[in-house]
Amino acid sequence: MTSLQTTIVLLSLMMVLVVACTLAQTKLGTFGAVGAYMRSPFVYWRPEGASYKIPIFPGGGLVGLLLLINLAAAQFLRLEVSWRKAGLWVVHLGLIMLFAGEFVTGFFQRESQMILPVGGTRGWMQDLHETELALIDGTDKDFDAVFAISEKRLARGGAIADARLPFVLKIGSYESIPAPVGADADSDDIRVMVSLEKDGRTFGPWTLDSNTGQVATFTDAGRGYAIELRPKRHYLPFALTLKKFIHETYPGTDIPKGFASRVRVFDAAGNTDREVLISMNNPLRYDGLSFYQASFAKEDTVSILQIVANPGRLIPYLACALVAAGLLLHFAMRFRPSGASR
Amino acid sequence: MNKNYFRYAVLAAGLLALIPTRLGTPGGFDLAGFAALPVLHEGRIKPLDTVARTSLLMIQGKQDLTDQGRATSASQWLLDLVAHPEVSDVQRIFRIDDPDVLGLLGKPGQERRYYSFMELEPSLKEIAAQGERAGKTPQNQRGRFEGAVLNLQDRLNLYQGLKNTLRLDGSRDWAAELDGYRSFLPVAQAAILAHTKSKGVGGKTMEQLNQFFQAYSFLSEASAFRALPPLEPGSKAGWNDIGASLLDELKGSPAHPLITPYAAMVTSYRQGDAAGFNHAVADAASWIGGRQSAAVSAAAREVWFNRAEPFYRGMILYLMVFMLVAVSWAWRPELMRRCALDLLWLALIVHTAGLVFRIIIQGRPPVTNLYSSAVFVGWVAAVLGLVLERMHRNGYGALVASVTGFSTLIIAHHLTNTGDTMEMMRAVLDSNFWLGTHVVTITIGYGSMFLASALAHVYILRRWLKGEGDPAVEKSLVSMTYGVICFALFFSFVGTILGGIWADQSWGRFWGWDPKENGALLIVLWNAVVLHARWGGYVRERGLMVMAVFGGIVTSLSWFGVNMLGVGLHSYGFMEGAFEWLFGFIAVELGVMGLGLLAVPMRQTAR
Repeated sequence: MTSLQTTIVLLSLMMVLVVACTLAQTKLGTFGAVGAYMRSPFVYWRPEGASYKIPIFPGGGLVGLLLLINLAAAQFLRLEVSWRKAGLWVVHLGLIMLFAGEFVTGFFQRESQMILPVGGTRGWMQDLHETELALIDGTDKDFDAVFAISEKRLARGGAIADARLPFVLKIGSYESIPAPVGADADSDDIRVMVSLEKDGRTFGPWTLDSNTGQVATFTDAGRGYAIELRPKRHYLPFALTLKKFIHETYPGTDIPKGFASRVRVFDAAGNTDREVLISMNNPLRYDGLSFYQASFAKEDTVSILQIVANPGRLIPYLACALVAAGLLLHFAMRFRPSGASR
Repeated sequence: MNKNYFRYAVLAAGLLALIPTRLGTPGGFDLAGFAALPVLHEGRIKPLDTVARTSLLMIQGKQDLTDQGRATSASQWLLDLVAHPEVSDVQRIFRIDDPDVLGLLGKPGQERRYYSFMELEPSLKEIAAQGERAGKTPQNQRGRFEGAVLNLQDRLNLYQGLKNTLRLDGSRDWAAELDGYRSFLPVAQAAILAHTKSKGVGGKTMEQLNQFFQAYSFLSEASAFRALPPLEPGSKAGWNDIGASLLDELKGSPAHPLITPYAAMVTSYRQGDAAGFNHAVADAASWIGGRQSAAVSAAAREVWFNRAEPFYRGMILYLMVFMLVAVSWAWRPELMRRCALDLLWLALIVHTAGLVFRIIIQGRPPVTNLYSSAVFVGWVAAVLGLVLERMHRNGYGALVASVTGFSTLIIAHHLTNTGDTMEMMRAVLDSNFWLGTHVVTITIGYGSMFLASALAHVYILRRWLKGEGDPAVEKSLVSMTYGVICFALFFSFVGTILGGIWADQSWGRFWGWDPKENGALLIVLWNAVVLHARWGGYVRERGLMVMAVFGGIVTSLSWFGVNMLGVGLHSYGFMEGAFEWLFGFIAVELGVMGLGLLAVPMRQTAR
């Protein structure tokens, strides 16, 4: 099969995947569908009730990789080096960059949220997809001691005994229910049953649910503890305080005109202490992270910021400029009035 | 006959189609003056004429009212509704198609699709109850009945809101009632003062005060638009409705000077007093003109735009172009082609003028919603068709320009019944820069895809009807299609990427696999497949044409299909009923592709 034929087959496969992914979004939600069709090397089929899955179609990851290899091969092995093909060279280089950029994004992009009440300060952000089990010792007046167990560890079950943990944690059951259709959040509903043991005494068991977010409390040896399932927290070397949240509508309507959060950004060392306005289409970029005005809650008293870290975010910009310039060059030469053929 | 005279005659016929309609002065009432008054409606300052047209369109599905054989303009209908609703209540304007809703109203299996408010009134409670039930169901789980009953409820709310905007529905003499209120005001204010000092106040005064308070609170709440401009000259914020302004008078605010002329308008109209009505309209217009001259001239422009109906008239002109090209195949080809080209220029000028007017009125780039995307898709296709016609001079450029221009304007026409097509932009979309770059570029891509598909139709149908025809014509069609596909690939790609950049700028995801993004990507991928297949020589001319038709299907799915999925950030369109049309379009297009693949001329099959 020639390289051109391979290209056509791969592009057609990609089209089938894009259609399937789009249709699947009504059932799986965007995050689920992209995971199943685009980011995975294969599209799997799981027979009813089976624990195994069978790959039935190449996934976006595989097709994309093959396209990239084929493109690079065609580019460097087949395509002649000549002025006539200069446009195509630039187009293909741009496309290689674009694919590479999407792989970088797939592997390195992290999305989190910060939920900021007016007047509140947060030095951490919460993961959109992952849950953690937090055991909080709130006895001390000035700080909480937090022990966090990741969702992955919870899924393995069994008991966790660690010298740093004041108790032995026993995981009775773990259940992950996929996010319902059309839900805003992409995170699954996690339910676990846990109990704690120390010196032969047992606390719990409690059944915790990440959706309801209930908190169980108990005391032991004069210390007060709370245990809960919550979105995984990532701590930041700086903090944000929400000074004001602005929600404008067009007069006489409910149509939103704009949302904006006025926040103070500061760090402990005092290197940064300033105020910024984060609004729709105007994010704050700070410390390799981008903060976007995503949503709001509780009658405009809580602002929700989306936080994205993507080291490859500038790659697509460059790639696209290359492809556009290349296409323009190629078509300009192709459709020159003198009728020079391609 | 001299060739030039014939061309002039055809052009004159085209110009005749452009004469705007007039509102005139039915019964001596200055309807045009009333229609030009600016108000604040759905966040935008617009003339009452636009309020009338969009409201009637939402309720009835059409901008003109023909009730039992009598034609009425939208503005006339609005004037009746706000001033003399007894007339409007018996007009059959509520279109109801859903059999279950008709069953709910106790009118199953009737031939009629239009009902008057009077006929619906006995069922208002039942409709509200069902509407509340349906409203609790999440939007994507609503069935046909739920959607239809909510839609009917919205339209009834709009209708009753309009009744209670310039006067309280049910009042006999609104002007006299206002006089009564104002002479009661000093008594009421004294009573309130006494009440706050907790002295006993006559129960009758408080009761009367309470009645006014209830009535005007209701008026303020129900009001469909805000008729009172701010008092400070030139200010854009602070438009108020009549109910709220009347309540403000209780607190000692001065009476808004426009309340009296509006009251005089509705009262004298009810009483058949044309002179009084015209006087009140002139009063209101001159007061607003003194304070809000910008709003008045914008409203006047918009009334003119509404009357000129450039897209409707463009549609007629495109149809004429199509007919002239068709005639050219049988009779005096060169002359007919020239006439078609003349009219195509005219159509394009009208179409462009309409777009420019919308840009000026809205202060936005040309594409802001599904409706305007249809208008713009047609414009792009027509411009490209004209360019091709100038290059190839064989009538086919004009033909495809007229066909795509006409069909996209028809589509736009059917997308208007969701109300004002110049609605305010939601916060996410409120960016003229990205609307002007990403959205416009993507839409240019759509337009060129449809044009390529139209050219391919001509090629395929020609072959089917005539067999192996004129090789020069076929070569010209192939080169046009190929060029347009290259053009489409460039704009679709750049547009898709600009969308990614916008997404990265506003929520940090360059690519989110949103259905609309995927739709745009499909167009890019398909064009890449077509061009690689052509370059590799895997398809020849006929194959290229069949693939171009498929490109049209992909574009239609990207344009409309994803709006029907109801997921993602781009699912802004209200698409009920459009599904069948899209399905039908795809079926027909697949048929055309089959015809292209068979490549057996009709005469041979007939043998």
